[in-house]
Amino acid sequence: MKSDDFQAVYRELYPPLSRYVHRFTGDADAAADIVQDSFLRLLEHDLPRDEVRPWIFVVATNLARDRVRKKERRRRLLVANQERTGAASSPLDDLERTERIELVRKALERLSERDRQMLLMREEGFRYTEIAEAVGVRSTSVGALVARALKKFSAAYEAVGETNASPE
Amino acid sequence: MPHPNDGHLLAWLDGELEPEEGTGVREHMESCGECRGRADSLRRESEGLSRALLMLDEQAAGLADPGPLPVVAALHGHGSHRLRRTGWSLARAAGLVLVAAGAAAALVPGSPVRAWLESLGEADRTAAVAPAVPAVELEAPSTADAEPTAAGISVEPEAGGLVVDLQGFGRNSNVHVRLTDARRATIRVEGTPEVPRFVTGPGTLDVIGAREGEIWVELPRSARDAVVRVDGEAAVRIEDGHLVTLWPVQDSLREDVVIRIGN
Repeated sequence: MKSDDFQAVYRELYPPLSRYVHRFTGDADAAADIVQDSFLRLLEHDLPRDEVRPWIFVVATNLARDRVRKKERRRRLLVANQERTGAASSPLDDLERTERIELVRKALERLSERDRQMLLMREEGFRYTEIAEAVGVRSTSVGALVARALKKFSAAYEAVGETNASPE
Repeated sequence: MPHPNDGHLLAWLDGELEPEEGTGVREHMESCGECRGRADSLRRESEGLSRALLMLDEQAAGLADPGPLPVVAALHGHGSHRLRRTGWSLARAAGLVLVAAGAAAALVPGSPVRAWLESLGEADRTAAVAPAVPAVELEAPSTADAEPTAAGISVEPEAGGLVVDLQGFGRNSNVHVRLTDARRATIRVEGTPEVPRFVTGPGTLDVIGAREGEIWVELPRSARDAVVRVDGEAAVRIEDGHLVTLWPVQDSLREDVVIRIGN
């Protein structure tokens, strides 16, 4: 890929890719590393311009999946620690916002990786055919799978909220 | 037509059905309250997910702005764009410059650097490549700069049309508008002294009462007729897949414009 092309791609794809990976991993630092690695890999490939977007999202998803697995335990400890320290020191509105964000993150964690990937790719505007190719299903199945994943997320979000609200 | 299943309904809402099939679903919906209810439920769940994800995004306010390629920042001493990890020395920055040359060489077909990279093969690619081409070490999304009042929402165009009206913003507010490939429009407001109110309707979004701030509007390229208004006056619109500015522009790239309210 030519340098000018790469810069244009970088400017266009950095925000949605960062947002996607951050949502997938729930970890801003990991997202930064993964996005960086994804663009590095793009440098090695001479792809047609219209294939770059789906390609780099799949690469980032695979890297994120590996990262999540390897760092799962450590990340959970960090999140737990952040919750404790945040609860002790934040003003009330910040605390509520932090809690809501944690609810979202926990609800996403309850989904399978495939469900999470499909929901997040759809949210980024990928067509069903692109989602199907990325996760290895038929494009005619994507609607049903995403609809099911949406319901799972809603249920998980509700369940996590109820769990958090119930007295210890 | 029999009742469409949830997958079909969602595909219809997402504009993913073939025209004939979509027409069939639409005609069925006109006479079937049950399916209309299920479609509404799916739409609500979809919007709920969008809102939830935008909340998650608040943790990484720098996501919207890639900034310049960091290697460019390093070469030009751009003060506002930090290298990702603290403690990077001048030697590391110099290393970046050298490796930038390597990365550039890697782009040239037949170059030794490219041949070497290609020889690394598929196995253990991360370990092999990461230290070799840090020239494009990318700007990290900054969470430290996150504004406490950042808020956002996404909204889907209605039949390709969308009106975003920004109301009550002060004269020093900047409106950043860009095109994306996403299906939904995304609006984020940052740095405001109060949380704005978002009022959505079919193909409309009013952002109300946030005084001064930075407003980031991402419009779907696929929207046939999308307009960003400021207090009811059209400022930026999409025409033929391009952004057209109706107000004086502060800054502009091909698909990214910034206007200042009050100018």
